[in-house]
Amino acid sequence: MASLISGANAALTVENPGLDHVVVGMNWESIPSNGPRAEFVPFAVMCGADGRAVSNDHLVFFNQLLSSDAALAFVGDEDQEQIDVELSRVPTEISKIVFFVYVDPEVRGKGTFASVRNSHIRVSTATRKELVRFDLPAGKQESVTAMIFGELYRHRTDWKFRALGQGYTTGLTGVAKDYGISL
Amino acid sequence: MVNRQDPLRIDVPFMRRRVKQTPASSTAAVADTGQSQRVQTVTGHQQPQGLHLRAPSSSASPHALQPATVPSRSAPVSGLSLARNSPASSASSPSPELDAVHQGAKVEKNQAALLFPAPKIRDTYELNLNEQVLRLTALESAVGTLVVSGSTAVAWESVRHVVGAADVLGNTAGTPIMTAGNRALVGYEKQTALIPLRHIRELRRAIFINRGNSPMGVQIFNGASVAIPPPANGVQFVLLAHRIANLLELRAEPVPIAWTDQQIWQEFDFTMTHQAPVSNYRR
Repeated sequence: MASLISGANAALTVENPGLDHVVVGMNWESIPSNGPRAEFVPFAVMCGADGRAVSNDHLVFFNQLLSSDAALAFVGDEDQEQIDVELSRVPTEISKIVFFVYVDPEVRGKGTFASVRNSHIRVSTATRKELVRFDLPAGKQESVTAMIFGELYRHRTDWKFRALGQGYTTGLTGVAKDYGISL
Repeated sequence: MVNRQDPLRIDVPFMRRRVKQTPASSTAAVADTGQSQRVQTVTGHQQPQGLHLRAPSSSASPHALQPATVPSRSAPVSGLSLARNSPASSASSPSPELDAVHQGAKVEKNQAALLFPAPKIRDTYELNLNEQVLRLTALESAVGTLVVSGSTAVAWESVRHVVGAADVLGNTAGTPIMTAGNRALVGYEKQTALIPLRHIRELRRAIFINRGNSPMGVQIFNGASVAIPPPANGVQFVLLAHRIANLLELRAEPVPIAWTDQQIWQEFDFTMTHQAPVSNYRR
């Protein structure tokens, strides 16, 4: 198991020959509250060579459990969110898969990542053997409403994982604008 | 039509397949007869009389039972399909959860594929008798809050058939539903009815009633909105928000203006549920 820092990458398929299926898990702890609280939504988007979403059928989240090519599948519940990636099924036009979490923009109080502790993303094999892990650094996140955790990307014929930890203050709207998601 | 390819049908939830256990000895005994020997060369076991939904034996000849073309997992589905798309997918899936996700998503996709075309929220300004329905996308159905202004009462039904109602004055009936975010699945915030779409998959449907003189308005996260006209000419419009698979459909349903809320509940088949008292007796 390798632990990454922001910006670092790991060669998944080079170091694990024959790897064609990974499970990307995103976890976080939020400070419990008796009142209405911020709700965090994990999301994955498949991007083309231009770094933008190929289409809205290439998104995976709780209300779209499977990408159009069935390469990405959302498996999760309130406590554990994970996205299965069948690397061999990912179309060649996809150059990277970005994993992020946004704070649901609820009109009664959106919330921020300020209430989040110990968030991490990890990549495991289909048998749940952890390959790489990235613990997002704690910091001032009072205004952060979306966070890019990491990305899987192609490098020639191989797949790599890059740890990111990039916060957005513009929430899902900002991420959608950068990655070409049609809201 | 009986699908003999797949061991488990999850797309017909009201049917359950009962697999009759066949003793190994009876199979062996049948194999001794000349008549059944011919059958065994095809299926590897005795064919039962009449209709059976049993999965094909693992020892069956794959070519004998395969159709000419086996639909692939990613093959586009056209028309009504009641078959699992890929028998091999379950074998290659790493976990039952993932297999269930694939199957559930395919069922959803089939349900969505059967829907008639409907305008999107940006295609229309008003739902009325001429344009009664619109459908949100999967993303629009799941992000932020569905804000309904101008309604005076709302009733809801969850996927577990928990039914309740509330009005703008704070009166309630039936059973409230709280989400993991400590917010009501459907309810009022001051004068506005809200549905937190993060939990849309817990909702089956909701109706919004308007007793006022102003139109109702519906707005979603991306700012798109649509209006529903106020009561007029003896007709009032009830806004029905109905989730089909992963898509939220909005409908303007005309009902007589003289109908009470209870009559509207009855028309839309909303029967208020009540929480049963919990007893510790014999626990």
